[in-house]
Amino acid sequence: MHISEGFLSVPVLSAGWLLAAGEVAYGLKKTEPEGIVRVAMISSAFFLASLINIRVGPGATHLSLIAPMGLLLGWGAPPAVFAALFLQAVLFQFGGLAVLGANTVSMGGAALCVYILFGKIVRDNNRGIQTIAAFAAGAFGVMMGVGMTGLWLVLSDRSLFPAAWLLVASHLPLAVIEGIFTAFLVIFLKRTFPDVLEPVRLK
Amino acid sequence: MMIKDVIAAADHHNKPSKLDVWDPGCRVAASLLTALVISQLRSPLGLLAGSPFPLLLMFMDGREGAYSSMKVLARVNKVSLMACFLLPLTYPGERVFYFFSAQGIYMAAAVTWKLNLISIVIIRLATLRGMKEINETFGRLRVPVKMRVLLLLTARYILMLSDRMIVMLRAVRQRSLNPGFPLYLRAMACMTGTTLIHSMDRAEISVKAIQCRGGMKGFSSGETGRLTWFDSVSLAALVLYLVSVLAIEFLGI
Repeated sequence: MHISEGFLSVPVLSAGWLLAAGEVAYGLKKTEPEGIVRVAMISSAFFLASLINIRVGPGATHLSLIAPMGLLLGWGAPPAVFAALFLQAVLFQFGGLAVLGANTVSMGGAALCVYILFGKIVRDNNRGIQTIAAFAAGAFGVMMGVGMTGLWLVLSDRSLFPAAWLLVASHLPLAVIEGIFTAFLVIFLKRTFPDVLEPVRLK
Repeated sequence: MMIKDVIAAADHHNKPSKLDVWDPGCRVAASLLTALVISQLRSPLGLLAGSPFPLLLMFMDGREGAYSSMKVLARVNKVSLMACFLLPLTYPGERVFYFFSAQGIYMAAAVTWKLNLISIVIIRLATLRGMKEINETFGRLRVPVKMRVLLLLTARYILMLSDRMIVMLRAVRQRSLNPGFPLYLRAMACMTGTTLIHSMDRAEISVKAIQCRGGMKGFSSGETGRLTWFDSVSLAALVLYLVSVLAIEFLGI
């Protein structure tokens, strides 16, 4: 779901950085100082969980975990995504620096949308509705993230439109898997530690 | 990338480099500027003009420096192989060998070359020696304390939780040898959930510890510092070089 270096043009990269700066600054402003520890801890847990290979038939895939991140962190999700992607680039030599803004907007923005659209439904309703909402949130998170990635590509070069479509279509199976995973995760957390689904305290 | 790669990367310390004389903040700024300029290049002449600086960086520390960069480049290229394979198939333009577009092939080659150049710049300039250097760099770049604390804690917790994650992953794999697909996903979800609950407990303890020490003030002590004449001159020279690369790209000089 990440865009590699070399694909995006400078105006798109700059727009990505501008939007990401706004998103991250607002997220940090809204998060209380004590909430930063929780954001960091959950960000690291998701960073590691997303590195685990999930076997799908003969192949394997990595989960993006956009939806659980949005549901658990709320406005803290964009700073958490930025921190994880930045550390990936400068500490673990993986991922890009120029495309960091665009990738933060794609994944952090998708997590934020999941929180706004599904956060209340997942927290407040009965188990059946929660499960369906969690599945929808998981699938929506992936599709929105990859949709935004496709949009960055098209904005950079209109001729990349077919490639962007192919990218979005190829993520449909992952969206279903992520939906099932998110539903199981929400059921587990509701049973064992429901407080964890309360997003990070805001100012 | 796997969890063991993260642990290996954290345990690995970059050897001293000739580039260490350059301020870390300057290095990050220089890598970002260079990456932006290389991203904009499309013509063969522009790409040629943009190549010497990354190649110089790659071979600056001799064979050993080049070899360590190449190891990372191999991993980077493996990941982007799929994207570059798709471009000749989907890019519009004159078809060659029935399926492939000539412009798509050029585009894929240009993107791969740019990816390698930018990756070299990031590996040699922006990849820092550890959290201490990242913290100092961010202090110099006047990044807000909240962000610096978030980065410090995230890096610390990634390494702390990675051991726990590996143990739990082993447990899941031992428990469910050949499970049906939903059952396997359920086991993985429960494992992630358990890690989250443990991390929440740990976060609460950390918050209390930080409060006992007097809160976030003083938690991150990155110095704002000042650039030396060498930093300023070398950064100015790099900007001049990048402007000339852009002139070659757009004006065809």
